[in-house]
Amino acid sequence: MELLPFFEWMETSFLGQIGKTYGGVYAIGQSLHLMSLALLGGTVLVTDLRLLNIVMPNVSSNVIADEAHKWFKVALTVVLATGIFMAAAVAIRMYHNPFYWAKMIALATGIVFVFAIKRPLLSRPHEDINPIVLKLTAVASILLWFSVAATGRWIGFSG
Amino acid sequence: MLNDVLLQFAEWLDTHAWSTGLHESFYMYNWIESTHVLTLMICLGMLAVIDLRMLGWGFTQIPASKIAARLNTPMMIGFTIMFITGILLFYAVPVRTTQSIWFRIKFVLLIVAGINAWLFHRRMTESVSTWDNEPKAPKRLRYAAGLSLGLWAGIVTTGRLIAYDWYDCYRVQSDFISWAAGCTAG
Repeated sequence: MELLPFFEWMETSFLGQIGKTYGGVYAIGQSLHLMSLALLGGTVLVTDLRLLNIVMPNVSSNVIADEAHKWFKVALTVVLATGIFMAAAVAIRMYHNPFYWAKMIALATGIVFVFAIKRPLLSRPHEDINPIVLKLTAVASILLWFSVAATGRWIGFSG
Repeated sequence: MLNDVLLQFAEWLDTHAWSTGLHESFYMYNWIESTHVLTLMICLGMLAVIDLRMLGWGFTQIPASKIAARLNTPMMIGFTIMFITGILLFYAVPVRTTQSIWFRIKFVLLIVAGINAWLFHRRMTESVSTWDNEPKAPKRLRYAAGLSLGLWAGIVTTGRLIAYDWYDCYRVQSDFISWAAGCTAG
């Protein structure tokens, strides 16, 4: 499927024009993106470091995972909304940028991993889950979200 | 006077071969900048979790002292790396950064955030035994947690704005902006 016409449309859309015309609004969008990414990172790390027994080993990991997931969803919503806004203003450049596609693949993998694997697994009592599975899930999660952030940062350095 | 001294210092840093080398190294500079942004996820992410707990907006089933004490270490590791990479980024582009109004605001916000964190920690240590399992911290600590989130939002925003040249000294600016950005004759 040819996606270029969609990216061309994105750039001429209302959202794309706002980002293109008002540098200040675009910069605020970038800042919100970074802040929500930080919150997302915090919720991922607090859960994963607990699963690895690095932080708060004497607090129930079920409680931490449940609480963190609520704020993960909030952070992810803002990351996606601000990300679409940022991409719309420079959509054609993004289409030709390999790091943009690397980030999209990492992000899609991260979202599928959270909602199809990690969350269903961690919704069960953690005592019933093999500790090695919990630790592997935590490591995979950290690596995935690190990839999302790193590839996102490198979009700015390439293309 | 202070602006002249700061500019002289920045110009002196700019004469260093390492400063130029760092600025001109595509991979080194970009890796340092990436590390600076990625450690934000650790530092600010942990701080956000602590502040959400104090505000009673999340993690309320976990004792406040436990969350603050246990997340403090990863937060400080993140902050230390962020601080070191921040100094290196400044060292790579000293003159423009010294004369960036956004960098100056960011620096002031960082100092205020540091003082707020110190006062928060002190007040919390004094009183936590009386409210540790309560879903919310006392009002003064909640204000401090809210202020902390607000200050860090400002730090992230001004940090991001350093990249924009709207108020750079080479442009015609109002007297106030020129003074605040330190646009001396240099």
